[in-house]
Amino acid sequence: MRRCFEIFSSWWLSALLAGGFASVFMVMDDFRAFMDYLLSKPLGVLLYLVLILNLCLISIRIGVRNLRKVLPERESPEGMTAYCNISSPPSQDAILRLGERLGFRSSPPSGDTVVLTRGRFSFLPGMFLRIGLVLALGGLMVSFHYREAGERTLHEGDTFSFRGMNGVVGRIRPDLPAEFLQIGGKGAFRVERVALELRLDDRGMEADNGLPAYAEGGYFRVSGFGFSHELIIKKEGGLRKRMVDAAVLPPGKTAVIPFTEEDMLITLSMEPLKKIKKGLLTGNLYRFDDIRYRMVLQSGRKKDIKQVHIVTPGTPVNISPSSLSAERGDMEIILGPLSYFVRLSMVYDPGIPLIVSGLLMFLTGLALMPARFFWYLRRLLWVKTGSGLMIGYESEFYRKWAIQKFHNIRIDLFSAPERSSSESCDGKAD
Amino acid sequence: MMETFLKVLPQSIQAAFLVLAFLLYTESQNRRRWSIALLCGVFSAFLTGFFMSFLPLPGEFISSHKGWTFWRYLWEISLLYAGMSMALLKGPRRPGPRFSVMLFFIAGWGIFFFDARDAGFLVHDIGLMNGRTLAAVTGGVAGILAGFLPLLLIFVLKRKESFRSIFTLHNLLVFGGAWLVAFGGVGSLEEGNLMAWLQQGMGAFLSGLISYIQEVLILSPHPFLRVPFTGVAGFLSGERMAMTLVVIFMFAPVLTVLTILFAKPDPQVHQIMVRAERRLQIAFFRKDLVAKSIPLLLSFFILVVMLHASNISVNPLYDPPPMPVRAEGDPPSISLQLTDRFGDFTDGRLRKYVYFRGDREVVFLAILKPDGSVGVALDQCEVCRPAEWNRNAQGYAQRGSHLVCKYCMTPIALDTINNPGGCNPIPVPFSMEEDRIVIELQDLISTFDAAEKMEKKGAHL
Repeated sequence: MRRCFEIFSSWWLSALLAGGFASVFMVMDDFRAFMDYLLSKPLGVLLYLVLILNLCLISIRIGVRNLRKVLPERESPEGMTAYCNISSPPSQDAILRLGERLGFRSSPPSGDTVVLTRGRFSFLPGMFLRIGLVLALGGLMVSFHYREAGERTLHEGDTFSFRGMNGVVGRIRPDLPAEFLQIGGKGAFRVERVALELRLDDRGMEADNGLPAYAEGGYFRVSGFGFSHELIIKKEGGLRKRMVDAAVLPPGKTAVIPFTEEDMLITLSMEPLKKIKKGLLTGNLYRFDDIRYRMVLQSGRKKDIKQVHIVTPGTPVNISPSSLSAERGDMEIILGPLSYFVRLSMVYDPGIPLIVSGLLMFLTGLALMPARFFWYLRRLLWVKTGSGLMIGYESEFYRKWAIQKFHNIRIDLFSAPERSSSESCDGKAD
Repeated sequence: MMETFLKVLPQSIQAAFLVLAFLLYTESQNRRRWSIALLCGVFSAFLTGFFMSFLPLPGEFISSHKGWTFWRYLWEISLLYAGMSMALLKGPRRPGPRFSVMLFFIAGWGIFFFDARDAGFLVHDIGLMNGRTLAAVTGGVAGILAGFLPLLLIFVLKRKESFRSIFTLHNLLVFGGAWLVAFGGVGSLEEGNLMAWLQQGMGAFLSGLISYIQEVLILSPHPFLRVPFTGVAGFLSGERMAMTLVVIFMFAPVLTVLTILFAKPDPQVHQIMVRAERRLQIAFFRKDLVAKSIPLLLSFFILVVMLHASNISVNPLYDPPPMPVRAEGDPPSISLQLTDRFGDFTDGRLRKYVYFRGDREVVFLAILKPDGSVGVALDQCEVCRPAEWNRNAQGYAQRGSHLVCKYCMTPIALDTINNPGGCNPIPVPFSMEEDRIVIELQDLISTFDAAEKMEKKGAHL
């Protein structure tokens, strides 16, 4: 059992698993295939679970070892970084006082042994790192197996359902700038926030494009946004209406709207209000409170450009039949008033809290890690022997310099600049 | 015959020097069995590797260069990390004598196997092409034997104490790994580099991992909607992060073994009564420390050079030849299509153009900047201009997301193109018209003339 624990809590196993995973990834050369292999194939799942177990057991081993080191127990200073036998020891109070002065904390004495420690919680950064990793790995596995996700394009007033919940879309409130100057090609157009009011089973909530909103066991986030218009086509006395989602953002992008019945297609793109010069560059100025579109009608087998119109919402556009084809009669197209559409991502995923908390812990551990250069465990062990006193000093890192430090402490303790002949000291560092 | 001899010779020489280093260690330890195991390993590597190409092998992975490159890289990393692992192992966990013999056999085999396979492949290929397989094989074997002649140096070097004390098992393995990274076998066929391979792999892993986590957390990037933590994700999955992790990964064994070496405390000499003897002991200890650090420092140097080479191979200087352009219209202007037969500006690559003004060439560049706008500038800078004999060093080339001044090698962020001053290229006024960049000829000429005037004044360095 002990041997098993040693193997599974060994760093060598972690290194072996990490190396194995890296090799598998290099051979597969595709991250998704790699994750699928780890999370669904029997051997992959087994190795993944062994890694989680390994990280847990390492944390337990290190935690227990550090806690035990704080408590006095049967331990000989001879196993420490440096030690010394002293025949005429100072009082226990003197040792404790010196320890406190050097920043050491003493544990309650047990029999003839006193332990003074410094940096007793120095194992925490590593612990955070490993537990964070375990939580994130576990979360990814839970997410892979239990996640349910959907995405819908929604307009104001639409209804939808997700995992038995019924929702109604309220207002869509985009935080659009009044105007946007586009310089060069696709400019740095950004929409900071698109808020979406929702009613889920008669409970009101708001989702936006920031962090996902949580409600009724699901996560909701706006993952897409665009302009929407009602397209009215008047032809030969008839009237046809159709909702059109025009993906014309960022300005300059062209949305294609096919009309299979008419054997034609319309392309829409935002038309700049004006072109202005800014320094060396010339750019297009778009206004979002006065939207204009460049509407291009294409028809025929090769979808040749037949007509180009600059249109504003609500203004009818007369399509002259001659330019399209001889068979077509008069046609009028009206773009309705501007409204919006959003893409709403809806996800049920019990793994997300685990992943988020895991990543936070991991990052905390990572941020604390540089502190380990000066935050490490140092112990001063004081054991009364029949003939005198044995003191030992142990340092987690910098053992070479710990020996010097130990002798400084020893000199401080005995206020003796030179080692007396009744002392026998030794030190090791590896 | 001579051709194969010359092809094979470098492969065996580079392996021979590594075998020599291993033999120096085994001889310094007076372990004849380790030496024999090592040489047996090398010989069996020759037999298996060299003649492998002459045998029909099943499976694409076993016989493909991609597969062999993978195994070779894995072996190099294993050797580097074996040194570190040995240094970290303490006391009773060190390998026993039988296991050690086996390890030296494996080391000998691994040192030469990939070189031998490389050599065998070349010999087989040349033999087939010339229709003289036997002569090619004879030349190849002779090349290998000649390449291993430096091994005879062992008889001289093993008597010299300074050479005998250089290697410990830890620094030997690390040095062996670094040596193979630099000179390893199959790479010479594919011009491969472990670091470039690792960097590409690490980049793919990080970008895959980050986009996977973003997708799981419903935070996938969007072209224009703000998404939280996109900047952090971009940083974590970027090339710099991949390079940083590769550097840590590759240098960790060298630095760990070096740290362990230098963390050894000075010997306890307080029991020695004669002061001169104390000093002698400490001096001997420190001299030994320096000697043992030489292979590690050499490995460090090799890895730094390889890192630089990898950086260049992953991110080479891109310096396209200028395309001639003409001015048309009234007033005359130069029109550059954003999408033409040479590709699309959205590929983010540097484009150079030349306008012939009499016998003068006005070279200018255009590139799409990260914010989506276009930068147009002369292919020369205000500050430095090379001498006539060094005219090829004038102008700019692209490396990754930077322009680089070819003369002073200053990297220039693409965002700053169109900004005058410093080592930035001299901006040229232009305008965008639909999918075209329009440069008034007058603007181009006046900018060029102003730059030339500056040259005449001697404002350039």
